[in-house]
Amino acid sequence: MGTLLGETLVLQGRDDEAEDVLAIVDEVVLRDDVDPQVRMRSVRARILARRGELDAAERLARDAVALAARTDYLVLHGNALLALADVLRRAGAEDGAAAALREALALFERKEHVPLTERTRALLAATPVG
Amino acid sequence: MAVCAVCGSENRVGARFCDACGSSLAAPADAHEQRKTVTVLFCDVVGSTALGEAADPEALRALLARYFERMRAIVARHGGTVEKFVGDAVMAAAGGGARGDLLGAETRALARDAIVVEAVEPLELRGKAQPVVAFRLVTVERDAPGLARHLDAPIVGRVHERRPRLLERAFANVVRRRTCSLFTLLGAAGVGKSRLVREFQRGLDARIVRGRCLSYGEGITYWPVVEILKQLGVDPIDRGPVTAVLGEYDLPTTPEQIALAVRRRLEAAAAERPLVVVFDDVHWGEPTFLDLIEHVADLSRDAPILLLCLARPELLDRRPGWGGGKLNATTVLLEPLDAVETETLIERLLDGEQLEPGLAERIRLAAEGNPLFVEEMLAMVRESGEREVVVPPTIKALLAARLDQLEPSERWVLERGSIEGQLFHSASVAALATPPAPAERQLAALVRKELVRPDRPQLPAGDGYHLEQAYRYRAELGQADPVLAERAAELLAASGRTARFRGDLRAAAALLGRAADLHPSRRLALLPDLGDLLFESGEIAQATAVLDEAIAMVAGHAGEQTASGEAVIELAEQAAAVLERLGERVLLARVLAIAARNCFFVGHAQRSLEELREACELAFEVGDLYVARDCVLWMVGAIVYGPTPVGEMSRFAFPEALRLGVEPWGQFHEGFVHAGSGRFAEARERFHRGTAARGRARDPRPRGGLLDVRRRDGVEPRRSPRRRARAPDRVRSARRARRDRLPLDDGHAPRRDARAAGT
Repeated sequence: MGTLLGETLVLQGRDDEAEDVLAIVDEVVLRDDVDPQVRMRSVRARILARRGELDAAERLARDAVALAARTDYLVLHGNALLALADVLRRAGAEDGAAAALREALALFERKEHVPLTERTRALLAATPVG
Repeated sequence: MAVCAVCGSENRVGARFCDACGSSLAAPADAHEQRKTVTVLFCDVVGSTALGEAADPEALRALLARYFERMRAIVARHGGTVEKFVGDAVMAAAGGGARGDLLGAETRALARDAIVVEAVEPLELRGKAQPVVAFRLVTVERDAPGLARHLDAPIVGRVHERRPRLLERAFANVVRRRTCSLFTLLGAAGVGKSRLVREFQRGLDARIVRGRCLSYGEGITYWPVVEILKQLGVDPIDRGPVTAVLGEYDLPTTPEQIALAVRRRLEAAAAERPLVVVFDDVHWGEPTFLDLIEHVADLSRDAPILLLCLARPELLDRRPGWGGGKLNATTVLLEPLDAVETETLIERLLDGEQLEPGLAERIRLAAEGNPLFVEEMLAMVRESGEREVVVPPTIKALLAARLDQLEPSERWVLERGSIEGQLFHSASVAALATPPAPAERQLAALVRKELVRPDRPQLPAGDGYHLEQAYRYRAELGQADPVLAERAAELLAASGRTARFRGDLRAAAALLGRAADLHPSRRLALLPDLGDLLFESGEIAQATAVLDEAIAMVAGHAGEQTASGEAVIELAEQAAAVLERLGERVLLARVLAIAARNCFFVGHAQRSLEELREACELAFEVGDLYVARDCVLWMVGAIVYGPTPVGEMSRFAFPEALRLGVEPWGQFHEGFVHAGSGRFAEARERFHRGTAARGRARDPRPRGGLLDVRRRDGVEPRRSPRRRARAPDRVRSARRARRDRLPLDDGHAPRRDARAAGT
C-alpha cells in the first residue's frame, strides 16, 4: 500500500510526501517481496529524475526493470518500464525511452489491459524517435 | 501389601477385605488422582527403648495396644485417619488443621490467632534443599478461631451498605411483633458475612449469643447449641435434655426433646430482652442441628428471637428447602464487590500508603471482589515486599477446604474446566471426558456454590463459565494432565480457526493465544498463525513479539533465524512431497499454501496460482476452511498480477468463493476485470460492493447461508466416503484429477508432478 501511495503522490507531483512514505515502506518491506521493491525503485527514480539526478535515476529505474523482468507480473514489469521511459525522456534519451515504451506496450497488450495499453500508445506517439 | 483406608491396618497382598475391620480394600470406582492439602502427624513414644527393656513383653504389648487405640480415637476425633503404625510410631493424615509440636510457617500462619509458638532452629529435612523454618507449639487457645477475621476493616460497597438495613428491618419486625424470624446470610468464604453482622450488632438493643458449626470432629452435632446454651446459662435445677446436651447429665433424650428444650430456653431468654442468635458456618451443620433451627423458627411464639445464620451457598445443596415455605424466613446472598468497590476497599486499607504501580490493580484482579482476599493479599505483599501477588496460605486453605467438600463429579468438572483456563466452556469440559459426557448438572451445582459463574462464551458451542480465582484453583487442583491439556489446546485452536474464518479476528486471536499458552509443545505450531492474526487485526507490536518468539524457538531448533522466499519455497516443496507420501492432507494443504504465498512474493504469479488452487481444493476437502479462503484471496492477487489476460480473468468466477465467505474478494476480482477493460464506473461499483461486503464479513454474528459452514470447527475432515477411503499412495493421481476439474490453464503441471514423484 505504501508504494502505491508513493506512486500516486509522485504522479501528482508531491515528491517530498512520496519520499516520506517511501522511507516508512523501506523500513518494513521484505527483501524478497518483489512488488514493493520494484515500485520503490521506480518511484525514487522518477523523483531523482525530476531533481536532475539523472544518472542515479536511470540506475534505479533499470534496477527496477531488471527485478520486474524476473517475474511474470506483467503490469508491474510494464509500469517499471514506463518509469524508465520517463527517466530516459528527461535525460534526453528519446530512443531509449521509446524502446522502453514499446516493451511496456507489449506487456500491457499481452495482459489485455486496455487503459494501460492506450496510455502507453499515447506516450509512444508523443515520444519523438530519432 | 494393602493398607485399609478405614482403619489403617496392613493386609495381605491380594486381600479384598480388611482382616481387621472388614472394610473393602478395593479403590472406589470413581477414584482418580486429586491434589489435597493435608496435615500429616507423626509421633512415637518417648523413651520406648528403655521402656521395652524394662517392661515385660506381654505388658508392653498390652500397653502399646491401648496406646494405639487411644491414638486412633484421637486422630478420628479430629477428622483424620491413621495411615500406619510402625513399631511404636503412629503416622496419621488429616485434611484440615494441624496439631503437633512442630509447625511449619504456613501452618503457623493458618492458626496464628489460636496458638502461641516459639521459633526453633530451621530444620534440615530430606527432600528439601534449604532448611525449613519451624516453630514449636507452646499453647493452643481452645476456643479461638485459628484465623481471626479483621472485622475492623472498612466496609465498602453498595450491596454491603444495603444489607444492614435488611437485617435491621428483620430485627425491628421481630421486636415489634414479638416473633421469631430466620434470617440466612449466604456468601462465599471471605465475602464479608461476619463483617456485615458485626456492623449490624453495633449498638443493637438485644442480647446476642453466638455458636459456630464445626467441619469435623466428635460430637459436633450440637456443638453450636452447646456454645449458645453456655452463654445463656442453664437453670441449676434443670435436669432435662438441655443439661444432657451440655454433657452434664447422662440422660437418654431424642432430637425432638432436645429441640423443644432448646426452644424453650431461647424463648425464656427472649422474654427478658430481644435475642439475636448468630449461628456461623451453618453449611457445616449436621441435619439434626438444621432441624433444630427450623423447629425453633417454626414453633417459637411470643418471643422476639432473630435466628441469624451465616453460611456458604453450599448449604442449599445440603438443604435445598432451607427456609423455604416460611413466612418468617429471609435468605440473602452476599455478592462479591464489583471493581469500583474493590478499588475503594484497597484505597481505604492502604490509608494513603503507596504501592508499586500496577500492584493494586493486580490485587484487585486476583481477589475478584472478595474482601478477605484483598486484605490477605495486601498484607502478604506488605510483609514480604514481593512485587507479585502471591496466594497467602490462609486463602489456599479456604479454597482447599471448599474443593475438598465437592462431590467427586463436581470436582472432576472443575478440574477439566480449569485446564482450559479462567474462561472455560461446557463443551470443552464435555469433550475432555472419556467418553465425552455432558456436565451441565455439575456446572449448575458449581455455579450455586459460587465456584464458577456463567460468562460470555468464546466458543460457538456450549455455555461459557468464569472460574473464580482460577489460578489459585489451578494450584489447588494439582497439575493439569498433559494429555488433557493438549486436547484442550486443540479444541481452543480449532475454535480459533473457526472464529478467524467467520471474520472475528479478536476472538480468534484470544483463542489461539490461550491454546498456545496451554500447551508448550503446541506453542510453536500456533505462534505463526497467532502472529498473522494479530498483524491482520492491526496489533502490530503484539504480532511482532509473537513472531519474534516463534523465530527464536525455531532458531533454537534449527540454528538459523530467517530464510529467503526461494528457500522457503524449496523447503515447502520438499515438505509437501513427504506429506503427500504420508497422506497428511491437512498439513499438505497448509504447506502448499505457504509455498504458494512465497511464490507470489518472489514474483512467480502463475506458479503461485497453481499451488493456491491445489492448496485451496485440498484445504476445502479436509475441512480447513480458513486455509481454503485464504487461498482464494491470494488467487485473486495472482490472477490480477500475473500473466492471465484481462479477457480471461472473468473465467475465474470463484464458485467456492461465496461458500467460503470471500464475497468481497470476488467483487474486487470483478473490479479488476472491469478496470483492466477500461470500464471504470463498473469497476468502482464493484470495489464499493467489495468494501461493503468486507465490512459485513467482519461482523462476527452468523449469517444465514454461511451458518452450516461456520459451524464446522475445522477439526472434522470434510471428505466424501469415496475420498475418505482413498489410500495415501493414490493421493498423487487424486491431485491430478482435482487439477483437471479446475478451469485453469496448467502450464506448470510437470513441475508439480516432479515434486509429487520426489524428484
